[in-house]
Amino acid sequence: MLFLLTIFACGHAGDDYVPKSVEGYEGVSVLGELTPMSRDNLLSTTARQEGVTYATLTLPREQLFGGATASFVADGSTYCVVVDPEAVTWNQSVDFEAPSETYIFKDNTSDDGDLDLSVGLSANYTGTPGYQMGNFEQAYEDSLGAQVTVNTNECVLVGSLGQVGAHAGRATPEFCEIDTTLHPGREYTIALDTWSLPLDDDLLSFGLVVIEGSCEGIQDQANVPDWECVIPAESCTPEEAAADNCNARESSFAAMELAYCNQFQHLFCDCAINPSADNPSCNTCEGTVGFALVEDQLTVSPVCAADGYVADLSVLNLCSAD
Amino acid sequence: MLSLFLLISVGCSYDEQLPQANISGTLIIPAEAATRTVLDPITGESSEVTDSRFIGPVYLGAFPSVTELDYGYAHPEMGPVIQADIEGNTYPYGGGSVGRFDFACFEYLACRTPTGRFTDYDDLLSFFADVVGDPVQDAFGNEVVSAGYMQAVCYDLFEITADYEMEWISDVSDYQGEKLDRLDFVQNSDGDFEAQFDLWRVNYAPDMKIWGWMDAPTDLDFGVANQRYKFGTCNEQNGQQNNEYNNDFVYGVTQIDLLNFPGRYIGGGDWVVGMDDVITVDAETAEDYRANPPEITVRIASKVE
Repeated sequence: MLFLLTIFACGHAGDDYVPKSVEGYEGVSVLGELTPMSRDNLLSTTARQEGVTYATLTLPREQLFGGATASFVADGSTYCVVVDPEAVTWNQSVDFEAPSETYIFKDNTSDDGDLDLSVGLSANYTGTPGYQMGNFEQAYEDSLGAQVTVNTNECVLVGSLGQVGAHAGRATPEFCEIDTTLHPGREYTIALDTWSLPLDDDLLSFGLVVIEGSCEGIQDQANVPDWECVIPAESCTPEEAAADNCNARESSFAAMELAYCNQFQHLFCDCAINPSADNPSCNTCEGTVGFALVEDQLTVSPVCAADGYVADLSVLNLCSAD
Repeated sequence: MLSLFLLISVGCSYDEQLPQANISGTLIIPAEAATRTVLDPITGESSEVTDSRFIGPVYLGAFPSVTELDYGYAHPEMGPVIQADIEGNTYPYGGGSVGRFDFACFEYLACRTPTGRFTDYDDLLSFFADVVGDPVQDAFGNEVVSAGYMQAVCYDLFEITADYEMEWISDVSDYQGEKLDRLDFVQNSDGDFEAQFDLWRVNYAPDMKIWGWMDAPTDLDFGVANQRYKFGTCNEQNGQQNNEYNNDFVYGVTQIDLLNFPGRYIGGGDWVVGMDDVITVDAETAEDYRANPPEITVRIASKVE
C-alpha cells in the first residue's frame, strides 16, 4: 500500500512550475536604439502605442540570466524610461459575502511576468547585448587606494519605505527619470533583467518606452489613472491580436486592462461574472463600453453586436464598428 | 586531558587577522554648540542657556580624506558624480553615532527625542515646556504635564512593563536593579561636553580620517509649535507605523545615508569636525591598530554658517 502511494506521489514532477524555452523567441534579446517619444504622443492611445516598443522574451537556452537591452542617445535633457511587463497587477476580491465588485474578475496568477529595469551609460554596461546580460558596476579607487565597486545605474527606483534600489513586483510597471545633463550626446543602455517568466505560456511580453522629459505629469498628460495604463495592452499587442496570436486569457486581461484604464472596470467585472443578455452592464454600447465574457471568451455584447460592433482588440476598442 | 586544555587555549587565541578594527575614543562638543537663547514666556526676557539636551545626534565615520573644496566646511572626499544634482558617495570605511532617534510615545515627539539626552519623563517634559517653549501634547492635543500619565501611555503603546525598555530614558535601572547610565555627555572642567564613542568593525585603511558632525536642533525662535527642536537627519515620513484605533502616524527614523551623503543633511547651525581637528589613523594594518589602539579625541568645533 505504501509502495503504491509512493509511486503515485512521485507521479507529479512539478514541471509546470519550471519555465521552459519556447522555440522562436529569444531569452536574451536586443531591442536596438529607441527614439525617445515626444510628450505629444501621450495625448492619444494610438500615438502612445506607436512610440512603445513591444517585445516578448522566453527562457534563455544557454542557462544564462535572461533579459533585453535597448539604447537611446541622450541630448543632455531628462528622459523617463518606462517598462510594463504583462499583464495587470490584480488582487482578485475573494470575499464571498461582500466582494469588491470592481475586483471580482478572476485573476490568472500564472500570466504575470517581472522585469527589473536599470539604465546607465553604455560605456559602463558590463553585458554583451544579445548574448549576456550584465550590470552597471564599475571599479573606483579612492585616494587611499581602496577599491570600491560603484554602481553607475542611474535608474533610481524608490521602494514603499523610501529606500532606493527597489524593484516593482510581477506585472507592475517600473519607471525612472534619467538626467543626462552630464553626458549629452552619449549613448545610454536600458537593461531589462528577467526576474520572473509567466508559467502559462513561458513567454514574457512587455512594452518599453523612453519619453522625453520628466516622469512627472505623464499620467495626467496621458489621462490615465495609473502607470499600468501608460503602456497599454502589453500582454496582447495589436499586432498579436490581429494575427490571432493571443489566447483567450490574454485577450481577457487586455480587455480588463482597457476597462480599468478607462474607468469602466465595474461594468467589465459585472459583465464577466454575469454574462447575460439581461445584464445591463453587458448591454451598453457607449464609447468603448460593451462586451461580454462568456466562458473565458471575449465577445461583444448583444446590444453592441446589434449595432454592428465587434470585439476588436487589434484597435483596442471593444466596441469598434465593423 | 592536558592536550584538550592546550587545544582550547590555542583555539581561543586564534587571530583571524580581520581587516577591520573597532575605533573608540572621546568626543568633545564645545559648550557653544550646546547653548541657545531661551525666551521666558512669563517675563519675556531672553537668556543664554547651555544644556547637553541641545546636543543633537552626532555622526562619526572613517573616510579616505577630508576636504573643504566641495562645500564651505570640512567634508569627506566624494567618489564619482554619476547623476547631475546628486553629489558623489563618500564611500566611508565605517562609522557610528553618539545618540540616535527614539520614539518617546507621543506623535508630538517623533524625530525630537535623541537617545542619551534625557534622564526620565520629567526631564523630557520640563525641557520641552520650560526650555523649548513648546510643551508636549498628547493625541488629543492636551498638554502632557504628568510623568505618570506619560509612563502609562508609553507602557500601553509599546506593551512594556519597565522604563529600561525605552532607550531614550537614560537614568534608569535594569531588571536586576542595576543602574544603567545611558546619558552620553558630561560637562568637563573646560565647560565643554564629552562623550565616549565606538565605531564598530571599521574596514581598516592606513591614514584614514575620522570625521563627523553634530545635527543641531532647529532654533527655538522658529515661532511655530512642533517645529522647534527638530532635526534634519530624521526622516519624518518613515519608521515604525502606528495605526491602532484612530492613530495614524509614523515614529520617524534616522536617515539611511548620513555618512555616504552628509552634504544632503548638513546645514547652517550644524557643527562639523574642522580641517584642523580631523584625526588621521596611521597604524599600518588593522592588526597593528588592534594591538595598540591610540588615544583618539575628536573635536566637533567648527560651526557651519
